[in-house]
Amino acid sequence: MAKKSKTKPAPRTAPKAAIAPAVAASPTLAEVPASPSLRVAHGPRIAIVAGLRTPFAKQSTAYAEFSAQDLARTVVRELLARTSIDPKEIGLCVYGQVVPSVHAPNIAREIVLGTGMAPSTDAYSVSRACATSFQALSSAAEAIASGQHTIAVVGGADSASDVPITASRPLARALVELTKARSLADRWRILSRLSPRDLVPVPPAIKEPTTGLTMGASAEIMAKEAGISRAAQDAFAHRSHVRAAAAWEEGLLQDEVMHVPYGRDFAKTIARDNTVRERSDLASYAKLKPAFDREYGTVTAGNSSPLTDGASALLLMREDVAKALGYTPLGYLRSYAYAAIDPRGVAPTHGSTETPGSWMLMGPTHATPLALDRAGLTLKDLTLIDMHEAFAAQVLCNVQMFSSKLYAERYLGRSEAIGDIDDARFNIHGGSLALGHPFAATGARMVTGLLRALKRQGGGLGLATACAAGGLGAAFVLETE
Amino acid sequence: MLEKQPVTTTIREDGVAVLTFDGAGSVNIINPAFSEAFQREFSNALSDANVHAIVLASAKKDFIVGADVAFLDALVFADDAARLAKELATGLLAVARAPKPVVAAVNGQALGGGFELALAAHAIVLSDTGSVGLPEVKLGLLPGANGLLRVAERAGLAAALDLGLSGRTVGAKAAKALGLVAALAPASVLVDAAAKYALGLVAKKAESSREFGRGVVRFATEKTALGRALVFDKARKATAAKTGGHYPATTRILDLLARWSRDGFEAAAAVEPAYFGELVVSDASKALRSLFFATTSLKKETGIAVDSAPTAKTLTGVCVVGAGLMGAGIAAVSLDAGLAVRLVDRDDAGIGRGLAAIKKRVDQRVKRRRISREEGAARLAKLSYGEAFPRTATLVIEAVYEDLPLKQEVLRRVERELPNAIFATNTSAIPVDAIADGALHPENVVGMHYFSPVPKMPLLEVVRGSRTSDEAVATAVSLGKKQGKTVIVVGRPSTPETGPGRSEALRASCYTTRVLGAYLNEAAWLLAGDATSPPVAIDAIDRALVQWGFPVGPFQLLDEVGIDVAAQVGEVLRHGNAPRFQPPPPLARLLADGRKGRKNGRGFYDYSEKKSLFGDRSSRQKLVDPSVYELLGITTFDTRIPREELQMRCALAFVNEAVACLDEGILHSERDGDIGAIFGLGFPAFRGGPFHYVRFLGAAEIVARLRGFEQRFGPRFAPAAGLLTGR
Repeated sequence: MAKKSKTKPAPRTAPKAAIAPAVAASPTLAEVPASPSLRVAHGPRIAIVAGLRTPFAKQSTAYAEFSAQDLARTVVRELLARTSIDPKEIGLCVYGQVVPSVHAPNIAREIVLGTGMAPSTDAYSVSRACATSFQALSSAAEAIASGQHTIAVVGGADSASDVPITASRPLARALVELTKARSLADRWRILSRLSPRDLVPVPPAIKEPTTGLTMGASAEIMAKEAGISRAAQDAFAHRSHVRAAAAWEEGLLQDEVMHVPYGRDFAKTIARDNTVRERSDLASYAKLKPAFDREYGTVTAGNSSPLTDGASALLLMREDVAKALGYTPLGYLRSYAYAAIDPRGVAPTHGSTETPGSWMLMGPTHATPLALDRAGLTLKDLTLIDMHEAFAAQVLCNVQMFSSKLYAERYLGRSEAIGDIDDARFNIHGGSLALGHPFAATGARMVTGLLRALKRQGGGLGLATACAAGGLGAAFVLETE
Repeated sequence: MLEKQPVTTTIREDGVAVLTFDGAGSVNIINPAFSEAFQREFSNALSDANVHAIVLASAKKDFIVGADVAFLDALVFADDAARLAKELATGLLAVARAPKPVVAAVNGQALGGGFELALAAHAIVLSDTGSVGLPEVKLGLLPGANGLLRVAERAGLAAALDLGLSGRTVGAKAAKALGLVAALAPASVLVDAAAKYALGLVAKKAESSREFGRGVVRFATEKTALGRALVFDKARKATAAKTGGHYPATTRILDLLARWSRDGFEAAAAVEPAYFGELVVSDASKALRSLFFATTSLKKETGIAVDSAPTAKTLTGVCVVGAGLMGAGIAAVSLDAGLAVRLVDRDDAGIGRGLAAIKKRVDQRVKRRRISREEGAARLAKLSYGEAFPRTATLVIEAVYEDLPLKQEVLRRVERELPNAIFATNTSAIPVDAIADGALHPENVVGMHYFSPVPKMPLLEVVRGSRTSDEAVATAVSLGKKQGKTVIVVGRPSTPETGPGRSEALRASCYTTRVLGAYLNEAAWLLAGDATSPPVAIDAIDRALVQWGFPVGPFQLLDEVGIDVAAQVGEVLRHGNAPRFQPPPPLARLLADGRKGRKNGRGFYDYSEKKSLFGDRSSRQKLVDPSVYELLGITTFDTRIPREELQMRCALAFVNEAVACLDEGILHSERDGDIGAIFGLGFPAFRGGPFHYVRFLGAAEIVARLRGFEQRFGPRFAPAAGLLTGR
């Protein structure tokens, strides 16, 4: 007796194929509806079941010996152990790093193979600069929404301590040619082309390839053109450190941060972010010299996020699967949006439709209204807002433009400002200025932190938003029950 | 249906005859049926004019894993065994002298007689995952079909000494480097590769491609009288130091190779059968073979009665609580078994130390090429650590400090967080029942007594408490086997007939702990002396027992185990109704003096780091700390006491306690007792274990000696009931 089934056109009594599909054994995977063509799903939500990160550590401190891959495996392994998810149930791993690795270009696959996940778990790596783990999250969410997977692990890791130092172009070319050279004379000819200068190793570029500007220089431009004072920047950095230190002190973060033994014979353990100034003193910020514009600048090491090592990870599931497996999710993904602006844009002038010149870090202002529209919400509906703090200047500039009707009209094509950000709901436990910013790990760190903070407040809606190199922006609306 | 032929021949189009070994069992072994079939097929192939060359191959996972050892036991006379060896050797000589090229295609392992057969071929092509070895020495024998001589011919004297005396298995790369095999090939194309090699030999008669450097060394050590003298002098000294002269096989291996290097193959081959025959009937070989069969039969057991319904839980991972030396060791062997491991400790520093120990072991194994770098990384990838238990753990092994309230606290946490998990306690002294006392599910509590250092010690003693379930026991046994351990199950469920009493007080203590306790306690009495026997020097006692065959003496062992730990264990053993575990009273002064043994640098021996003129004093040359004697008030020693009496007092205390354990049902069989003593405590293997020793000396003789000691030293030597009933 065949029951009517809209989603399963194949007869139920079909003879067993010689090679049975391996997924049939897994109840959760078996529930993926078979659909004749890809279509937009309106079913269960995407649940963020759990999140975890390593403590974040300043460049070349605790994680001096760790590669991004090591950090990633460490955090994912612990996430799997704590959630006790059956590795065979995880269909997908999407992971990212920003500082490229020469040894393991597909870090996601290395994580699968190096954490006790099932080798059959699919894996690919993503990169979206500072919004990389947002990208990992949305890519996996899309895979779940389209019915390709039900459970995924996502995240990002970066090691500022383990940067690839490359050879100069002439040396690299010579080395490639040498592998093909046949005679000694050929080899000599190739080597004799090189000058001593070509032998000097090349550190990775910190400038934007398109604008030739460093991030800090972009922040400087924004600070100057938007009129954000040194004092305001320093005060905001101080605020970030004070709040982060308080969150640690009150024990709000310890459940989302694992302990990592390190060093020779693992004799030491890092249990907290070593980037946070435990006794931040506002006066001391003023003493620092500007880092990017010595003469007229206001952006200093004190009001910028530090170079950091760390990793983070999230466990995603389709809502019904999470509940069937007995998990209580941290929260759900309500909507998200990415936006891109021209990092080379001309100077902001009246009547221009261009973005302000080199206001490269305005991503949050551009992405947020899109995400809110998609969620059917306005800024006022949000209980908490978390914005990535690359630079105090960048945060303050974005906060200012959230409120600006003029900016909205001119650059967002909207008649109303996005809305005023209520300081009491904004980055309540600090942000990247204090906690540090391992580029690819920050997004997942923000998602976990925001959802846990929302839960402590009794639930509600939250926004996590970040700027990224190249003029990119990401905004994610999350909800808790 | 036709009976399965152990050897079948197929002739390939290229004129290569492939003799495929596929015996009736799960592995190929050399037995009369095989030999007969082989000789028939081989001579057919030789006489077949269409056959240009012969390849020997196996249809099993391994080539041939050895000769059938079981029927050696039936041989009473050395001459019969010698004749058997000679027959096999003659058969192999026919292979070696065959007019057509013969190549052995060794797919997996070729061991003992199997390797000897392969060596008789003109060349070996080995699978790159294969291995070869001559493990006969481990059974107290030597390879009886000229295998050792052929190793010497091909790879040189040094290799023959190494393989023969250690019995170790050599991997593919090493075998190629030594010159034992002609070529390596992937298993998938092995027979083709061997056939190609054989046809190559047809084309050009066997060429020798020995490396020059090795040739010079070989000439100096093998072809000159002085070189030979030096090599054998060194080898004999090293062997004697290792075996204490208790293993006649090693002596005969040296004799045989000495004869080969002086007089050549023929002369050595002529004496080989006699040596083999003599060893087959030697006591040492009988003991070692008994141990081999005991181990083999034990491997097939599940730890519970065959008809018991519940079976072992399937484990994909284990959770180890306590990241100390034992915990880290248990985690390491679990990772080796391919299991996911969660290491739990409340202390970050403890976790760090555990991680360091585990990583160091993996790194070492990678460095020694036991496992590949990738395999090492894959094992570490399955290790997680932290304070939290995984929600789904099915088995938790507790390896925290030996302290009852602490262990019970861990048990309570496990029962709270993982109500269905099996709780295995790694305790040597605390009875499992004491730990399970007050547990919600005492049936889930089982003892898993590992020995330190865990990765090195082969034994696991699974301890059944009076309420432990079959499922828990079977799960523990199956885990131990996965970890590569030899597992014995001790302890027993209490039955209505077992009233409270002596057995009740000692009920769940491990067998090994009890026999070791009796043995060490007797050593302490020897040291302290009493009314009838004056004190004996510490190093004299240790030396005597090392000479008897123990790897270290009792006092050195006490220092390693920890004097405090030993005292604590003694207390548990003495508790209740076992006054024979009463230590000599002056010993308490050592503890009061804060002596804990090697770990705090203060024990029976001196651990101070004195620098001599030539740097660090060698740690092997340990000296007794004279202040021990002062503490104990010992000024004069009994130097006339015969060494044999020192040995007998300790050894018989050991043996007597073993029999008592069997009497009480703590031990389930003599076999388990022998294996536990040898693999767990270093009881001399050539003596076959305490029960084999009783059979060897005779129960009546043991009882007579015990009675003698009982009269002189008191009731602790009262013979166990099992000895009197003449088991």
